[in-house]
Amino acid sequence: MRVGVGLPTSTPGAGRDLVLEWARRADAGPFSSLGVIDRLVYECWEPLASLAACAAVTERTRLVTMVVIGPLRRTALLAKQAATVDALSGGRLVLGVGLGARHDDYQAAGIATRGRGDALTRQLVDLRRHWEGDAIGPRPVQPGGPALLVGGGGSAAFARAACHADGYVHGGGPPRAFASAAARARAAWVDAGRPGAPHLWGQAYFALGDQATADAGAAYLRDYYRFTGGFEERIAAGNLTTPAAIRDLVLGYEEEACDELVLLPTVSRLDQLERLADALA
Amino acid sequence: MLGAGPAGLYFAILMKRADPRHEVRVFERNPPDATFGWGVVFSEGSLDDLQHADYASYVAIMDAGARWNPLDVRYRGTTTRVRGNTFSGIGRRRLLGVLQRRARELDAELTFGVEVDSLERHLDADLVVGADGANSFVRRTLAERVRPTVDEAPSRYAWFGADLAYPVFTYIFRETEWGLFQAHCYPYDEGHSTMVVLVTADTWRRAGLDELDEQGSLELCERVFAEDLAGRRMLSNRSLWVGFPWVRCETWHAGNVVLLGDAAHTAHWSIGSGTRLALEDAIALARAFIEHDDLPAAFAKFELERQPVVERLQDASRVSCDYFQSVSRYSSFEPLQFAYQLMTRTPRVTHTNLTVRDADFVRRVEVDFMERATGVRAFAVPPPVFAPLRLRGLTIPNRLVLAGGPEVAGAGLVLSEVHAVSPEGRTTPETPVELPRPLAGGSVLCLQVGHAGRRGACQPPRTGVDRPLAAAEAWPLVSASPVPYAPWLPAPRELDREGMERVREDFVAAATRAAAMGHRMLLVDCARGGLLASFVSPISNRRADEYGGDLESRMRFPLQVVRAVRQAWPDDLPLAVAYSAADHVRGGLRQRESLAAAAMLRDAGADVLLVRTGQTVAGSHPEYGRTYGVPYADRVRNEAGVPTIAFGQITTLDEVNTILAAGRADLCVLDRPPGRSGRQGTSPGPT
Repeated sequence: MRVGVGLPTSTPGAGRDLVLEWARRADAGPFSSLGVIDRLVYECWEPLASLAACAAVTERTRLVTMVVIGPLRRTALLAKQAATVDALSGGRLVLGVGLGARHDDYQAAGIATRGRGDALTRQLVDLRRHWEGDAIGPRPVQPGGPALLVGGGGSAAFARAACHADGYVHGGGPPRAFASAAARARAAWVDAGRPGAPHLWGQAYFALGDQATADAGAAYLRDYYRFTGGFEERIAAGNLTTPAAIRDLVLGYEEEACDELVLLPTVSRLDQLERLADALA
Repeated sequence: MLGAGPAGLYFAILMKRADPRHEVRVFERNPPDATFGWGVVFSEGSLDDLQHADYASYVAIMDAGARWNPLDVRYRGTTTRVRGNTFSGIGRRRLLGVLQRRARELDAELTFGVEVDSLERHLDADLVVGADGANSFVRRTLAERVRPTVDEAPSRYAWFGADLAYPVFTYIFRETEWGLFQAHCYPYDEGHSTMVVLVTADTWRRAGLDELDEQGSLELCERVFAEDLAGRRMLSNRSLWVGFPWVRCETWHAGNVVLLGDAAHTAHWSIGSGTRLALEDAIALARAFIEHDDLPAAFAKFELERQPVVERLQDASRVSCDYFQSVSRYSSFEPLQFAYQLMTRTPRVTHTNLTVRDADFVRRVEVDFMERATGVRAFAVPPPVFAPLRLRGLTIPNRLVLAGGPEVAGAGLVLSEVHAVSPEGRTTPETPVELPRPLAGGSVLCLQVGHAGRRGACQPPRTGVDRPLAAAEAWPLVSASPVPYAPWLPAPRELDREGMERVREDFVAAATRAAAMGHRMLLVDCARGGLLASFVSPISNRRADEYGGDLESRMRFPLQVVRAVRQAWPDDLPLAVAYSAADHVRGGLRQRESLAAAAMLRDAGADVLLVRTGQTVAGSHPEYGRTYGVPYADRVRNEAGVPTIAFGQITTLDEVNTILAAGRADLCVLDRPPGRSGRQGTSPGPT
């Protein structure tokens, strides 16, 4: 299992210096990828633009969206943006897409939520078509385009990942929850008649340091997930705040045959990277 | 605390124990000694949690209750005993009496006979607990915030007592002129048992129970179960026939109010977990308040701990309820297999679990299974997966089916990939048309042949399925009707008479070639949205001729093909058909049609059906989950009477043994376990 780290682009206090230095240091090791999350109506950065900047200051890590809310974006333009980031990064982009969980994002973008599942399916099919070379360039550096991942919790998401993508990205939770989703993603893959196996990605939040750090992380998660109307406390309670908790989770995900686990920061401080690297060492 | 059932009282006890300064008031609408529901049962697992949470009440409950470990299944005049289970039962009134006494001892204030009809009055408390049962007033009041869903199971049940103590937990199945009656009986003291009687809605109406009063339905049930009562009486007390209410909530708290037990979630009584869940809820909530002073953090901890447990039990109880509602499907089973089927009705109890509980019971099940397979009775035999299966003149050495690829040694049957019966019938340019050689060695190769129909002319599935070839490389598509499989795929041409003739000949030619090459098993693909499947589903078949319309017409062409293949295929060798048991699309195949189609395929010469679902149109998929395809194979096998190959997230040999021994399928396709990428240790960097 590979372990990546999230970029502090959705946490309070994201700024140019922090984000770019974060990316440089993560690239220096030991992380396999830099991940970004997506939300429109919130104080957070646009994921593909953020990854474009990271592409310029990194050489090694893969750059992954987990996930961009696909239907908010016109597919042709999303294909072009992704191909551009892939070109800028020398072929390091992994594009995770999903529906997102918030209606306000759709309202703000002026996109109907009705039919968004079908729209996402269509988008996956069309992204590949654009990348494989129709009139919409550029050609991505990776042949056929970046790997596509699908996020989401229901059978429709598993089917979508199996039929039209390269893998599945889980939304977070204890290893047991990941295992159950991974089993279903694999079953959908077999059902669809795909050769090989799906790439399976996991994610989890962390805040390492003193009690104030843990509290700040929890406060951010409560705020970010306020829209869930009751679940924010549970998400905040699941934040990994000790090296032991991180090691347990990593071991647990590894046991469940996760391919890549991305640990997302909940406080915008550079020391988080170093603390995380220490916890993983 | 609103509601003085087990959840409310127990939480009161634990909060007073945690800190006697807590002021705890419990309000209950019924009098303290009201008895509705006779005894309660705790099944599967111990009550150790109660021992740690409050020893005094634990001891009192244990003293007042009964414990036993065998259970009996009475069916077709035979009683089958299964040992090694853990049950305890207690009269509901006794349980409440114990809890009331203990709560008072700890200075909780209990008020009975007050109707709670307003939440407002109580909201100035620090914490308000809605423990007011499945029909919770508190939940209904907070519906907008806890977002409940409540739906009703279609079967009917009534909760009776009986003035005899059954020796152990006893399931009784009695055939009547109106249909099957079943009673789930458990003793709760020296002289009394609970008898929960369950019937399907049809049986309920046929028996006239919808029009009988309480006394009338009691007398009717006494007549049905006369033999089991041995002269004793059944008792009723508000024993009304109801459909079980499924209650789920998105969250269990709102502001300073939290729901406990049945108010928050119900689990069907047939797994005997309702009271246990209620008590465990109380323990978890009390513990959350020991760790956290503030309500939001305590509620978060409570829900994090309890929701996964509750969801698993609710899922299992749903499966259990479905099983008891459709148990007459298994009326041709021998008593031993019937009991095995009952024991393994939810995925929580597998062949291995059951072996641990009662090794001799499982040995007898295995011996019977092997005897049915081979005609030879032995004292001890290998588990069901290693039983051979005889289909016509072919003996498949065991019941394990693997998809072709590396590592197929040991499988009884190996499924080849689908070979196209003609170049136009290919899915992709890489789809093989030329048939492979039969396998050397013990495994039988099941050669799949098909026609991709409107899903043809696609790119190889390395980056996805249903990706059309560039126009220059594509070939024309045919289907039942000119409707594309997905909006981005080209429309097929409607298959005309001449085309049908040709396709039938292509299938026959493939069968003839396969037979000549020495193949021993052939499978005709009538699933996965291919050409034959496109005729079966009303979604893809809009024809106006005699090949479209009602099921019989839609089946006409696939049946013609199967019959023709059956004629061309050697008489002593089996023919399989892959068939789709459900469309998973609105307006798709109905369940009744699906079973009728299975029977038609059998009559046309299919010896066994590989049961799949979905892939009628792009995006039609099953609900994935552990052994998701098995209920479909089960229904086809036991309602339509066709041997089946089960497919769909079967990942362990233990699952295979359980499915086979319970008679849910005759062969199982096992998904190979994933490679464990992390065995060499974590590597944070790219590899």
